[in-house]
Amino acid sequence: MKIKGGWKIGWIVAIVIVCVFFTFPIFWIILTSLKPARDVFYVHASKDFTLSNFPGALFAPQFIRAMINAGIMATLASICSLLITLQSGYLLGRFRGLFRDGWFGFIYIMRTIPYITWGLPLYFINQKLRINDTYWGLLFPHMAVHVAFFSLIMKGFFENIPLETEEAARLDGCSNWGVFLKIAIPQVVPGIIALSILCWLWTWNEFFFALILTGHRTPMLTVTIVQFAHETGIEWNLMSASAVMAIIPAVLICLFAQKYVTTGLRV
Amino acid sequence: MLGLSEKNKFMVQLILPALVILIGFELIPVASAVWASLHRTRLYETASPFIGLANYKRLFTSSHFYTVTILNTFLFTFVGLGIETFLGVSIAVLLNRRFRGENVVRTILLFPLMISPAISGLMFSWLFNSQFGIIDVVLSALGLPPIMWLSGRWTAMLVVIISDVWIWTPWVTILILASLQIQPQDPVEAARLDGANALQVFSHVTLPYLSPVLVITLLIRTFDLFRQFDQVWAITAGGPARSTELFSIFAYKEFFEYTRYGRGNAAALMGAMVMMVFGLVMYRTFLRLAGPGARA
Repeated sequence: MKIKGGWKIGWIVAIVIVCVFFTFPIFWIILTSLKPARDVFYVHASKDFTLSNFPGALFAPQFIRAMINAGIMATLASICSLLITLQSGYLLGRFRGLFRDGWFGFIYIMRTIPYITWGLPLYFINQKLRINDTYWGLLFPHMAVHVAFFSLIMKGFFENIPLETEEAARLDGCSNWGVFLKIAIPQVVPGIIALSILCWLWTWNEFFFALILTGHRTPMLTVTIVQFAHETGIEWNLMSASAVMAIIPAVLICLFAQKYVTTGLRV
Repeated sequence: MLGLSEKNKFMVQLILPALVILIGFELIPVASAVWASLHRTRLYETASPFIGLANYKRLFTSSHFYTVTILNTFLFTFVGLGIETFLGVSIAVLLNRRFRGENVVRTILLFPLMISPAISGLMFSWLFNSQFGIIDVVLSALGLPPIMWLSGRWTAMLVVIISDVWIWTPWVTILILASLQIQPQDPVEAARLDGANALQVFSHVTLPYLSPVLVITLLIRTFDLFRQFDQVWAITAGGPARSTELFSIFAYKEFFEYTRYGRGNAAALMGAMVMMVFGLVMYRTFLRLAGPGARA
């Protein structure tokens, strides 16, 4: 659609406002992270810059461990979530009937249950299973969170691959699992890439389950940063630096992977 | 698995791992929450006598629960949903054309989605910091009195809602934009030839075309807004004086701060029931839009 004259200026102004609104908070946190502690309450007026907040935040108790843990968790969660949801997506995309519809309804209803309703009891259940404050204790709930969304996305991908190749393989004597693993999976690789990136980001950024299910033995990045901020309260320069460091890996991954995610996901 | 045909056996195998995880780490916890909500279960107390619905009754007879927790949760959900939908669709329409710098704007829209909501929450609590936050600095530069944003219930709620709008509007925009870009142009042209203006074209042609994606997007947003925890925790942690608690925060604090495990679970389950009923009511719509044959 062509637009002209006054409308064109209005359109440009609107786009600029949108861009400013969505970048300003990030710009401000980066700016704050570059200010010395004495200037932190006058970020807008201060002319000094320093990089000393970054080592300051990096060597805060547990920060590095929390970052490594978040990376490990995110990688584990991406792999394990896909390992259990690809099959479920295949069922939704390739089969018809009561069994399939029942499964669809089940994962849909499970998706509506707020995290808090299972998060609180998990605190005790993980203790009973002796997996509280470990990778496993956080990994399993994360996998449960992803079942519905991942299955639905993968369903779309499986539906879009032509049935003929699968049927031909079946006629050649390929088993159900053979068809699934050798014929179907290779054709949905874009979906697998997109979901593993999303899952990595989601887990890296996740806060709620990490808050309840992990402690000082397996500290997680977001929880460490938020608790650090709540405890120290006023050290905004350090808080900003740690936030920036938590954002950087996510941004790098996103910029690198943007094309996979946007072409992979047409919801 | 005796008596099952080859195909049925395969179907069961396909869902088995996901089913085990869902039962073990979601369904059993929920069942255990139901049990706890019917008992007087408190941290550090070994005995947990059965007390029926007393935990629920306590919540229903406490005015705090009505006037703060429930009201906040619904307010947050509806206002957030309204603003995110309106802005999300508007921005998508604005961006639905070719222009220089198109990719830059689209990348900018991805930023809020890359950042942990908890960290975005911290970011907003810094922007809206009383006196020293940039918002108050700008206000006083304009000669307006600074506002103690996070010290009052309604201003703190506003900050929480703004942060959610910042995080999630781009998500709505991206999904809507993706489907605007593959919208067939013939009906649009036809309507325009019939003399419809831009607004009429949008409301009579484009909006109906968008409705499936829009409904799914809004449904998922509703579930997520309703159970919101992260940003609110990072910004206000429910304060000042428990006045910005949503039901998730309320349930969390009942347990971790006041050791009332049973009552926390009762509150969490009430939230779950609201969402499950809403989910069931919307199930047919969801099934029609995301079910067999439809793209989810």
